[in-house]
Amino acid sequence: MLNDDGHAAAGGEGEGDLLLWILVWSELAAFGVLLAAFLIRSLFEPEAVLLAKAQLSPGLAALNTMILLTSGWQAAVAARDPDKARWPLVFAALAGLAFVVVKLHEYAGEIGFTGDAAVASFFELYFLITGFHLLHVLFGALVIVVVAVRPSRANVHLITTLWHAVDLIWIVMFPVIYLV
Amino acid sequence: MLMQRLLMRSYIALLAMAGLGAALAALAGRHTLAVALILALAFAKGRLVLLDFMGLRGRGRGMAAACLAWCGLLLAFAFGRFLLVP
Repeated sequence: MLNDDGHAAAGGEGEGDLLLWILVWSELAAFGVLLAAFLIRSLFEPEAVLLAKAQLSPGLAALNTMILLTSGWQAAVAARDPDKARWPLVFAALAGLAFVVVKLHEYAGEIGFTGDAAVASFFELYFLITGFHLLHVLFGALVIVVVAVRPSRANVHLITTLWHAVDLIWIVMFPVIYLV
Repeated sequence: MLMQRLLMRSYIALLAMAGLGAALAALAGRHTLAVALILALAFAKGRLVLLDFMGLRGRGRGMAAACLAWCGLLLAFAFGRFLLVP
């Protein structure tokens, strides 16, 4: 069934959701395994992890949480009214790109620690997990821009749901890596 | 309009919880109660994102519960690790 624009009607708020949720769960499973590995590793090297965590910037990570929540809010606004989704999607993408900029700035202060034998194993996993997430944010923001150019109900539903999954992953990742 | 207001309310609640969690971590450090609160706040944030931002409130209850279980398991794991190796 097609709508006026020739796109699949009401996208995916029905049977079409199956593939979307498979995609969401593939992300949750991948990050779940990575975060579990991070937690298990920190069980065996508690001193090194404490030492390494002292080098992180939880303030910048907290700022990035606010940025990603702002982006998620705009994505939710777009999803509720796909006919007026363009500008909320643009704002969501811009906030996503701001997240990338802050994270790269954070990395610039941390990359030197990878050469330090005492904390190298922590930073290997740290860069793997947060870098993988960062790539999701960057790619997601670019896809949001593409969808914003010609928003259809199905595409808006798809990308905003995935965007919220990326948001959800960060919400769990933030305390696990930076705070606890 | 009602939906936009609900989203705005959830957004403000999410920002407040994120700020509170970061402040708790900065001020109370690695106190057990503070850590428990930080993780509980993360769970509450995840719940709001799932129910209000993803739109699973009132529909897709099974999926919301499964995603919340994913959050809860990882956060509980983090708390368990903290209790074992503070």
